[in-house]
Amino acid sequence: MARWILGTFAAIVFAFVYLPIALVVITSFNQDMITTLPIKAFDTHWYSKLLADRKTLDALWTSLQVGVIATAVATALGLLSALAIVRHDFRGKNAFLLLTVMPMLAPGIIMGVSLLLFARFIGFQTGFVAMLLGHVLLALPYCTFILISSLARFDRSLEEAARGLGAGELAVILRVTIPGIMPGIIGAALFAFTISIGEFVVSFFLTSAGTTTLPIRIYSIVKVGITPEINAVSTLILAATVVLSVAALRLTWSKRK
Amino acid sequence: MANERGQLACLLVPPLLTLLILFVAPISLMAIHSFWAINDDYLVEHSLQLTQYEKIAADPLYLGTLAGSAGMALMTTIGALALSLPLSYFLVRFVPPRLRVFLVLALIVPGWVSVLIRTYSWNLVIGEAGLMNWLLLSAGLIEEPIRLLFTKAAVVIGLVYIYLPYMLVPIYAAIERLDNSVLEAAENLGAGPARRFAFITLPLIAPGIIAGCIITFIPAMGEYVVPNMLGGLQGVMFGNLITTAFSNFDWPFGSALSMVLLGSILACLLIVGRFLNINRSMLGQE
Repeated sequence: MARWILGTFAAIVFAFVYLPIALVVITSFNQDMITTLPIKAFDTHWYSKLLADRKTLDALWTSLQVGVIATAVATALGLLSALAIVRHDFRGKNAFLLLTVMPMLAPGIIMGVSLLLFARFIGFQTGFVAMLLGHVLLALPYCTFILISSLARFDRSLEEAARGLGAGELAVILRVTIPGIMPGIIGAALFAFTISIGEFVVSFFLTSAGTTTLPIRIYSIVKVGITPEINAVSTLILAATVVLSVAALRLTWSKRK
Repeated sequence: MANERGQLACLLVPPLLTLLILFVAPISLMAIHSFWAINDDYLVEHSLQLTQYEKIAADPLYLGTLAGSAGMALMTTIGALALSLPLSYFLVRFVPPRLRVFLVLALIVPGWVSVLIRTYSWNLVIGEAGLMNWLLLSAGLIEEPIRLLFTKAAVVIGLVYIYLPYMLVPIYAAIERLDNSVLEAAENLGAGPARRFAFITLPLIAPGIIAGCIITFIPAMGEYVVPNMLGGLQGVMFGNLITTAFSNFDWPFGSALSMVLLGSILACLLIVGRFLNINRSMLGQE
């Protein structure tokens, strides 16, 4: 009895989670301009139209560039943090950990406006680099914690062996440690990329007229009215996010099993 | 030893500098800005004063919206909790482990899709020409479309949707860790389902519930995208006021509003922490 009631409840929650996303995907194949139900005919012409939309493609290109660079920087910084936290004892370690978590907890809008304020104050031009730095800040805590957990599980006797065979400290890190925690590094990078690609609030404050990321482009269109074209872009982002997240999960979880 | 310190410095300095420059410095600058003011020529006057905070205290719009945001965040927390508890219980109790892991991931992965997309997708569900109205109209249950979009309720629905994974993960983890033998012992001693839940399950999963509530409430309270896209004029939250101040180039005022939001979030955390401490010490005395 309890089983069936709870099962029905669970099914409703699943519907709640998937219904809006499913509607985005379905309406992206709607032939009509206006997103009214019921949908009369399905086709993919909004996707072809998307390929001709310069502004949206430019925004996608900017998003990819920001995403790749922010991912590389955040993952590298996260690795340094994780190495310091897992392998060293130092005064203020807890304070450093707290400082690392804080960007995860502070509301996005506060990060956005404070970065804007700071950029203006020191005379730094907002735009590509500013957004990039904002994304690095947002992704850093996630990268750090993923890498802390993979470093903590890494068997250090391999490093001892390499040292015994005469490898220097840097060579040990580069040729033993990093290859050993590669799944964690790739997992952290995929998380960072996913965060950067979907990020809106911070970019919204740090964008400049010339450089727009995809979420900001979507926002400016949705504010006027939802078109099937926007649903098409969103469907593509959705697919990419799901693929990236599943890959990230597989990589970061594989060692535990 | 010197080598060890040098190594640590190499590791620690780059991330520490990043956090100091991109997080500590901007927030500190914002704190200072909030004590400045803007003059008639729209220039920032660098003299310490409380003008901004007096302005916030004087106009009921600001504190009213702050209370409203806290209320909406609270409703979001309760809503997400009401969904997560029975769902997690069902998954742990009735679903075999392999399928269970898959189902939990299936609930979490959509949470990584851009907040913007997940928020506007609700337009397609509750909008005037959305799925809900279409179904109700076709079924003849209503004559006129229900105007749910651009209300407070729409914002809370959107917030529950966005923050459900935040609540679900800690609660699911807590329920999965529950030791069934304790519950069986209670059952053998004659405790009914309600008693077992209230006196055994609930205290054991309380840390998970509290963690879930905190990490749902905090970002929900400072949310900007959801009220902006689903709230219209009725569902304004404090984050929208901050944006308005900044787009009017009144940086000192926007900074003061931001500090009020940060302060309220910190106050909520302290109150929860204090409350928990009192509870713990009471339990300790029993």
